[in-house]
Amino acid sequence: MNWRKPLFYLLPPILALATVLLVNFKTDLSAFIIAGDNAEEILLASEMQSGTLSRRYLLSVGSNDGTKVANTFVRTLQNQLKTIDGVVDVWSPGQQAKITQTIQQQYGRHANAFYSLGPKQSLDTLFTAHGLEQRAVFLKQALLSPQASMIKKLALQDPLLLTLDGFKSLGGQMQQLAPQNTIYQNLVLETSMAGLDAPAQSRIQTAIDNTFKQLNLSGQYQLEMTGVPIFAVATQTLIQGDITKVSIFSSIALMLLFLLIFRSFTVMLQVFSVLAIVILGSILSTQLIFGYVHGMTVAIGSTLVGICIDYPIHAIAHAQTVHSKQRTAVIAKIWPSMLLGGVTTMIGYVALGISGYPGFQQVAVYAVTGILVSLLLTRFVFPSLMTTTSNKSLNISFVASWASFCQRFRPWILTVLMILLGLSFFGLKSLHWMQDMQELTPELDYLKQKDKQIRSRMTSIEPGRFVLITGNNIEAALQKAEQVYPVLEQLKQTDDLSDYFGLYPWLLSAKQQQLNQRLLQQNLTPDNIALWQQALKQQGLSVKRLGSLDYQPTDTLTYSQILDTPVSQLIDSRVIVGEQQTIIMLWLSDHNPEALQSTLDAIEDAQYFSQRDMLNNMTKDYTSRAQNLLMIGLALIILVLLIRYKSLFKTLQTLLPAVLAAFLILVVWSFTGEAISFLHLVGFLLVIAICVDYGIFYQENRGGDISLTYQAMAASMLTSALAFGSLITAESTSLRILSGVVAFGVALGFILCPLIIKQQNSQPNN
Amino acid sequence: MIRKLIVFLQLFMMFFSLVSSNVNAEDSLATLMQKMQSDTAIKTVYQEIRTLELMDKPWHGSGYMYSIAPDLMIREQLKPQRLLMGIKGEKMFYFDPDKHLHHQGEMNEENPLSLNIAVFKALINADEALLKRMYLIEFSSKPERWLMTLKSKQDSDSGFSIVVSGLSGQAADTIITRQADGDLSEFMLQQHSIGEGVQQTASHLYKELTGE
Repeated sequence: MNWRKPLFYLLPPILALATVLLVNFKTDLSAFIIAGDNAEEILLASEMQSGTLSRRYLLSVGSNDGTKVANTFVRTLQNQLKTIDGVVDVWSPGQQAKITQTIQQQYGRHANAFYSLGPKQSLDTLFTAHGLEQRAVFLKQALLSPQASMIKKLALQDPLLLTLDGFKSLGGQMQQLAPQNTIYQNLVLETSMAGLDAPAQSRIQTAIDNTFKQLNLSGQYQLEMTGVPIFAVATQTLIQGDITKVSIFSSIALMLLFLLIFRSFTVMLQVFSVLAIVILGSILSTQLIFGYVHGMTVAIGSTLVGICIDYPIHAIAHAQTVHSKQRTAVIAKIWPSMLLGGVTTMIGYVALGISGYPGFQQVAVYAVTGILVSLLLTRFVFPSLMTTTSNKSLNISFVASWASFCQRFRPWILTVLMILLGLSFFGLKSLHWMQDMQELTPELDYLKQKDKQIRSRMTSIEPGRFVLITGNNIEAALQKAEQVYPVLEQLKQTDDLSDYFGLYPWLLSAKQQQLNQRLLQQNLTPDNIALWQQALKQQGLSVKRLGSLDYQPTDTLTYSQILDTPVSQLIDSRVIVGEQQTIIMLWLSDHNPEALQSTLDAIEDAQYFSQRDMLNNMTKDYTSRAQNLLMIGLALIILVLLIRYKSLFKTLQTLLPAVLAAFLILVVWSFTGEAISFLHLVGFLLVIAICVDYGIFYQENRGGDISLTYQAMAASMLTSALAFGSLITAESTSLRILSGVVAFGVALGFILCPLIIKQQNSQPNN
Repeated sequence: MIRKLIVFLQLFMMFFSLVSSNVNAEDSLATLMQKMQSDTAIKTVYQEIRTLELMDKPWHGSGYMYSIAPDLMIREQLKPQRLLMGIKGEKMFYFDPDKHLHHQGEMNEENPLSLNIAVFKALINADEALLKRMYLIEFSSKPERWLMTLKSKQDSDSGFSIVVSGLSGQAADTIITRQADGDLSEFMLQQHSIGEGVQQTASHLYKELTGE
């Protein structure tokens, strides 16, 4: 009994069931896109995925007629937004009531530890007759000020008001953080879910919109939002839309192409069953190796394994021309070519996998598994499926004409081609690399514009640029930050920096806190206390209540203690605590990047950091690796072919269609002025991997009939070009880049085969 | 700081509304509220005495207050040193000319301590219902004087109170604020002038206050 046939048709539903039951699908985009080479980048990438800052939305409410937005409207909106499931808190950036309370309650008790970053100088100035007189005047003014109630509570535990010394520079900074444009009312909304958890964030965004609409029935106001979750949802929506569109379009187009070429529903069913088994098998093997499968892996991987149907196409094309009993033998005869083609393609995909782009590791495993499954099915199962007795030959009209044209005018065409290639060399100089990774996502430009607008209404801090300080733990990082503050102060003096937002006075290292306490204690001498009491008397202040200066040493105030207070809203997005490393970010206002860069270069564990530069550096790394891997991949393919053919000429001849196709793509880019990204190189690699197969099939011509081989190659080229070409309907620039490069490349590689590889016209081996 | 500023300023605005109106000895809260608003710019001279726990002697201050309909109130302290404070709509302003120090803040109704802002609004808009919702009010009227005591509705035992009083048939002349910690502020008020000149001075002070 032919058990292979029922098993073949049973496999897709069985594998589908296993996929549903066993596979853990993930959709977190950042895991696919962002990674880093060093601990800092990895920690930052992780922060971008799920850190506090990534979980926050910036909401901006404006009126349609340019008038001021009513406070009552914003407060009602704020309260209602807090009730959305998954929203942790909503606050206004200038809302400081709770923070003022914390300063009084928490920092007042640690006044002797937090009063200065340079305690010696501060205490030398304070503990003189004049210094203490001035302090008493200040205390009196403060007790008579609108903040009297808070000052009184503070003064009872900190008569010198040392607490305020640390916070005096903060007033100006708070003004900078205050809204720059009063026509808009801004809110910060924090969610419990990771910023890149697109499905959950999509639900939150819908809820925010609905809440706003319910309150804004008159349509008087408009709401704008930005933040990592907005970008995540927009990207996810874009990708999902692309996947749906491309899948539908390519499936219909491929089916029509099959019917057109093979004129048989059975053949179509068989080939698409192979494809289904390949895809499901790839998903399961990826799950087995990684423990999960990313949605993007399925999307990209499935496009790549689309070329797996080349093998059954070749098998069908050859088997259809012979008697049913000879089919197994024919397929076995051409299988070595398929195997060699498969191996060269796998080399390309493995190179892709180790290019450093994190998601491509899964894609490589996915695609390599697919190729293996397809090769094995083609060789060992497919012959049993072809039970029809009818013999048919493929007849794709332009193929024979082109082959015959090449045969007839080969020297002339080759001469023209050589001249064209020679001339094209001069154009290659104009090739240039894409400098900014953001050029890969122009479809999100509208969001970037909106992000810029909203942020400019909220703060003068430059987004995405900061001083990055690293330490083994929070204490080490804080100590390092305290070395950097004076350097930044110097840059302020030279106008290279308008201001910076450090963690002081909110956070101070334990070492500095202990030093502050010790030095203060040394200054609390009987003479100084007598001077202070005299100063109090002069101002009419109570010596009895304020004169004792009882600053007992206290335990240091820790980061985790601060996190339990409302101050955490101000600092938690600037500290990333990892297991091995802690990162502190010091935000910057307007500044001179070069001056900061050169100054900070001299300080170990401190660096000027630009998020955009980080992404662009990662792009450069990927591009450079893709270049190297392209070379290594090519060398490996040459090696494999050399081992097979034992002839350098034959090897180069087999490779030349692929290499020339790739070269011609470069020529086109040089003329169109297209900036080359690492994605272009990825496409380039795919073109070589696929076109080498064509070279092998054409070179080996194992079926013995070069016309038939070229017809079979045409069928597989058309399916590949169509599969990749259908990506052109996507909105993502990345997918369109891949589409253009690969579809154009495979067509070129196919066209060049009869021109480069000279074959004697042979007859089918019946 | 902003919170305290709110409380401080709203007290001035509240009492100012009160002194601006003409109240009869037999007035009830309802009739008092009806007379709160004025379309005329008013200038009032004030004396302030503060008795603070942390000071050995009471502190004295004095200056003028300005009210311009519909929503601008300014206090100009002249002694012992010049200071400006004011409220316009939902914005609060503070200016220390000696130190060239400007502060600005939004009145935040969410803050429990600034719930008084709603009370201020109730007084300006003669919204008796809102006043009753926010505060415990005791209003009494005797042949010589009328008197109104406001306490926090949420924490009436905190010790915080505002006592507003005036001669029968006349505007409020005294406001005594007792903080929860026992500190006292006593304001003595007397209408100084009204009309166009006051409005011009107030507009000038407002520009100084906001730094425009």
